[in-house]
Amino acid sequence: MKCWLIWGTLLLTGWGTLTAQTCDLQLSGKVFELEQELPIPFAQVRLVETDQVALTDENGVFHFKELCPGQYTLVCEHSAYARHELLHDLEEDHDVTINLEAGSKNLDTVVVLGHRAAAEALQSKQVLDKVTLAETRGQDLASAVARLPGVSILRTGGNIGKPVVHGLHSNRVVILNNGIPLEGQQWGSEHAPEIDPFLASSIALIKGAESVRYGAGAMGGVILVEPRPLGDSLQFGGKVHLVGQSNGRQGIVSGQLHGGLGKHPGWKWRVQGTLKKGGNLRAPNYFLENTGERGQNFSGTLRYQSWKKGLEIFYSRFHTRLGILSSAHLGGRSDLEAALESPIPIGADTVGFTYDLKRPYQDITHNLAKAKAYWRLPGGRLDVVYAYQYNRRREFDKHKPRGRDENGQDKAELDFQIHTHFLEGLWKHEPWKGMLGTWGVSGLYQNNYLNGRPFIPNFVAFNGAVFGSERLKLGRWEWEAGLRYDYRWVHSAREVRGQDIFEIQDFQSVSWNLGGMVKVSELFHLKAHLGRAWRPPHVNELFSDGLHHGAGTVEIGNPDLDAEQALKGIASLEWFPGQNWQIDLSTYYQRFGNFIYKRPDGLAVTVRGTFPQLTYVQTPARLQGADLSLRYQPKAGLTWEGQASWLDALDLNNGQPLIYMPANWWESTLGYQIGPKGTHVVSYLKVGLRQVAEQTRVPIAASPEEDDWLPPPAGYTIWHLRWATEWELGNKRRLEIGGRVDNLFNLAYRDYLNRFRYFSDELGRNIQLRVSLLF
Amino acid sequence: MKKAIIYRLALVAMVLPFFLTTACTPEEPDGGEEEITTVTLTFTNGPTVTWKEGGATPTITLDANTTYAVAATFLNEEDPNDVEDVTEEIRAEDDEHIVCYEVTGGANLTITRTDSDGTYEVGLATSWVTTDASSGTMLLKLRHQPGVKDGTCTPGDSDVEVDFNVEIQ
Repeated sequence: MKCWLIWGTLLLTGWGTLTAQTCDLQLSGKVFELEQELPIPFAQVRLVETDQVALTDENGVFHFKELCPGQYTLVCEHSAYARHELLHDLEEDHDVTINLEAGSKNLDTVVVLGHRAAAEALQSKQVLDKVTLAETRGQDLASAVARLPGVSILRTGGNIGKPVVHGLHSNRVVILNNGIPLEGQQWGSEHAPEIDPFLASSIALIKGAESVRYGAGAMGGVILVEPRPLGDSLQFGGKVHLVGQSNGRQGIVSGQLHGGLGKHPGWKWRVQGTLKKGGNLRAPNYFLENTGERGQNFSGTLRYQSWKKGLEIFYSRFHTRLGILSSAHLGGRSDLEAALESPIPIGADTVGFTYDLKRPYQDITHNLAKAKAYWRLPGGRLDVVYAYQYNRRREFDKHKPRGRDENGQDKAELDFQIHTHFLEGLWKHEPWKGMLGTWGVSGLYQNNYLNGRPFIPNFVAFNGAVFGSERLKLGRWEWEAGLRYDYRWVHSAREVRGQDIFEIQDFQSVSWNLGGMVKVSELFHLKAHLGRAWRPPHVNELFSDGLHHGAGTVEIGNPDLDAEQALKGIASLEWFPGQNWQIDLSTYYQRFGNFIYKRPDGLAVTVRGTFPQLTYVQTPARLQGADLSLRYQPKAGLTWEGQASWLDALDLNNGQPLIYMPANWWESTLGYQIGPKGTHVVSYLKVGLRQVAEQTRVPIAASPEEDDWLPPPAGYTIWHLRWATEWELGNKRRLEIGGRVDNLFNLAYRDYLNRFRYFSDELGRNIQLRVSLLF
Repeated sequence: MKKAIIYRLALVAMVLPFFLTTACTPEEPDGGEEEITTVTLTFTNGPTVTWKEGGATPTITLDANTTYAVAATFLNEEDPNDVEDVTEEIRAEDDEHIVCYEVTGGANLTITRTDSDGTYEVGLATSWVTTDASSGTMLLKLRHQPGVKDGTCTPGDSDVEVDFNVEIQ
């Protein structure tokens, strides 16, 4: 009953509690003298709604931090200038420019420039811009995130993808769904994140080790999927998206509605849902059997917000059914050998198009219920979050199991159910000796149950943590330091040769980070971040023991694995060398102790046949790399964008490269845009290419049986087109029509990070069309 | 006041699922589907040869120029105290199963199935005919073919796929 004690303590410390909040917005700006554009120091800027007052500094700059979304009245006063009033709808961080006119008593129009500032300014954080996010509508989450440099996709066929950040994925990348760490069976490389991308109005990526804030999993990075804040200014309205794709003849309908509760100020609501249906996908030369998918997602939010306190209740349900390429579902060694020898997936020449889904397939349901609350107290703000997640993942093999009754047809061979409770309390204190900080406690409880073919054990796990971080601004420099302590307790139960084995393990560790940023000038920022993270081995790494039909491999865990340790340093610069240039460069170095990975390890002789075996091993390792992002605007309307990612991962034990690491890539896009004019907001056309190099950094195997089954495929270049046009329809309604052509020249290629590269080519040309109506 | 009570109640309602779904001990493993661990070939007037999971590849030693009647049996010995004979189950679902015998490596041996599900052969009973002394291997496959059985070994999945060495003296 040890875990009850732990929970009891946590509940007592956090009682009253349940929830937390996103009043994290910044409103900053600059006050200028109108005629000569000189900054005005010592002007008083007042936020009427919150009664906060700020004075501009010698550069005319002022800041308001920790604001809730909503409508604010800014009043700017200075004895030598005319008073200014400005209404502003704050939905995201904003920079405001205020021009004051000397001596005049008239109110002037004020120019409001929207400019998004990073919320964690000291981390290397990248946000998908609105245009890019719109372009990825209809694709999975991994494809959206992979538009950012430093990210690749780990695929299993054409319809399952996971983001890989700086070479790391699964248990090493945290995905925050509306602020809550997504907890399912994320250890599996063919387990895609259970998030509806249509929920997001913002997708962002933190590439440094953010373990202090987000816990053990965040050693590789953090992906933040955020819906649009329900601001006070939000009136009744909504969106409808229709997306059609030629490949898979896929159709998606997604919509949302939001509004207020009439006479009850401060209350807002939103409902959102998505339906998706697709059939067999197509590689350039053949259909991929049984690769359709279905999806039904729903979410609802209700929130109350005032200056003093707030509450948000959120529920989302995600359901998908994903067909698995039938010919990749292997029996024994002879099946694998035949599949590797065949230039096309076995039987692909007779496969046509169908929406039907057969075995093998995955069926996944994810439920998330969340409550967040905050209270403003003397000295700071208390946030409390509670979230409950229930994830059920069922994997159906190609054929129904032997010896089942007549209902056996629908019984899954692997049926995982995991319940996760998450509770977090945060205290954000007001500035104290120039420092702003957040302190918190968090607890996580999980109960995992597996029904079917034994693969990973059942377990109950508890994780408790205390953490804190402080930020300090000194002139042009800004510093950050954080510290966290984690305790994890895992009680697992597995069956070995008919015997149940119960085992308790516990782990503990300290994580920390240090960050600094200097604004050398307004046009040149330098940032550096150093983070120490750890990760206890997951039960799949410790105790996996069984056949993975989806991959045709036997996976063997290692009960002696130690916790992973990692130190990641990341340095980045943002530079605007001229009016029309922007350069973002970040370099990183990550040193691992006890890096856990699986590698080919001979053949496993089982009664079901002889299968290639993957075994979990652990080694010191280092990952280093760089991401580059360039933007050049030679003239109005014409933009060139370039992005590149480079990664070099080494096993320090044997001096060999680590297996299954993403290859280097770069992407180049040329776009031309017109507008706005009248009701026409904007129209653009972009043409681009993505070049992925052949992965040459692969280990040389000690014996053929420890080698990858096929060498890495050749590098490739694929071209794409993207376009959109946006119009005002009056009455605050907006229409956006856009589209994409992926793999423009229908090139047949294979990607090193696709687990089905042994069997099939990547997807062929895909023409996508989308229509969005905002009202 | 009333509001405060509603607020508290709402909080309690939200904490409730936590108490309902938490336990300190994991569920007992359910053991999963029935696995076959042991394959036995019983030769009338000849040897009995057994393949066991985790053991070495067994060798079948046969006389040259002889005909044997052979019965295949499949056991689940995962729990030594509760050995299950899966052969009966296979026989009950014989329209979904076929046992295939692939002789390779130069053994002078011909194997034919001698039983039937009414339409197609099953292969739990076979006839083995040897000629000159030789050696090789035999791959035994139990193919599970629900709804797709066509008398060949191609459709379906292997429930069993194990090697035997063959010595003909």
